[in-house]
Amino acid sequence: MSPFALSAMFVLLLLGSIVPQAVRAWREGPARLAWLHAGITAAALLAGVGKIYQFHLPSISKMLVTMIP
Amino acid sequence: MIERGRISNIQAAMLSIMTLTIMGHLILLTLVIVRSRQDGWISATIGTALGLSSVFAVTKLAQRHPGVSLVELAASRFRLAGKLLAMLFLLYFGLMTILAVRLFAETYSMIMPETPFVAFVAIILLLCAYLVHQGLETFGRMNQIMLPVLVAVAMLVVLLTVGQKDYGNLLPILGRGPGPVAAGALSIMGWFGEFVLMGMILPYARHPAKLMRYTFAASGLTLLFFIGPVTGPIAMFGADEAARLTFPTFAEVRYIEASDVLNRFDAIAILFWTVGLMFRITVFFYGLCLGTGQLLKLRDYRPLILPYGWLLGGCAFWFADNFEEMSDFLFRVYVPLNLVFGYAVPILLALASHMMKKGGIPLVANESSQRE
Repeated sequence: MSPFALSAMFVLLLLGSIVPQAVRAWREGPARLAWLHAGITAAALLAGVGKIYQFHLPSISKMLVTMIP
Repeated sequence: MIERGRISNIQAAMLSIMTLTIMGHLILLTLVIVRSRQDGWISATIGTALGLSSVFAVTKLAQRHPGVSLVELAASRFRLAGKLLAMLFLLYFGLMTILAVRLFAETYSMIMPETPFVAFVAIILLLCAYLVHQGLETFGRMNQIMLPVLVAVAMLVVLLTVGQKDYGNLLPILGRGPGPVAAGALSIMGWFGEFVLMGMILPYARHPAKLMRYTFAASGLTLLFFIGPVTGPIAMFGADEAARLTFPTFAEVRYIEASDVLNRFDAIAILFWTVGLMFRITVFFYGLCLGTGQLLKLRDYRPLILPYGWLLGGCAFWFADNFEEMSDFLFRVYVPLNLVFGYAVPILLALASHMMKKGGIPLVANESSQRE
């Protein structure tokens, strides 16, 4: 499967499962829950698509290792 | 109050045993054997004794503020700094969940190399998300059923491997001096720092006044369950060979031959890891969702399970490029991280809480309503 197809499937599944819940939170409140959904979704998209496309981001463990003297 | 469920003291203690023990078997064992070799058992004993300070601080906080979790306490008691601290705790819980998910996928990939990595991540996250959705009472009871079964199986493994072990490999005691023992003890201390997660569970125990004896007993049992795995591979393979193994207990279990028919006991190790990691991921995932809900003053933590599940899944891939990178993290970051979040922060919180109580400063504003 090509990276594009894989990331498209990932994005569709992610948004399809979270957006309805976020919209309900936006309508019924509290609004901060909807914002939290948006934030977490953005981070999950970055992590997932970033991994699929092999962005030149250092891994989480590498980042933490460099932080420790 | 987001969490309305209550668990018994013994269920809380059993959750802490399961959460700690599985990490001990999978990761800590290698750390301790590499650092302390045949003196690993001495390191474990000293490290546990020192680790009791974290257990004491977290239990004291739960006793002093029943029904108020660690994140809730920090956020509501210490204004802006407290909110920042609560967010750091959530980051820590998230990181520990990601680490456990990644470990699960790594161990299974070793056994089933042709299965895609994503399958293991998706399966364990779906299972744990379901358990978190069911709530504290459900997975507390489930763990109460599963832990005795696993203990019985582990004892069977010890009995079946006794014939192939030479406990003379544990000699000489302190053969490489006290330095390696101290390094190993520090790793064990870091491991016990994970007990801070119980700050999200102990406040919901039914009898907070009696919690201390349960948590100390749980720590003793956790040490006991660690002494066997830390001495077993050394007695079987020798200290140098055991230090080269990625998963020493798995290698040990593979040598069991009970008869001509029963000679594939690998499944026992897999059973132990699967169930143990499932509970570990569930407990940390639960702490993450509950803490976020409490920090944002939501009515329920359940709407957070799905988005967090996706995030944890994505980050499990992003966590490390390969197993070597993950090992590097475990050797260099895991212990200092746990020493900060598991010792420094809870001990300071317990001291601050004690001084404020002595100074007559009222406790958290909503505590009285939460006790109901």
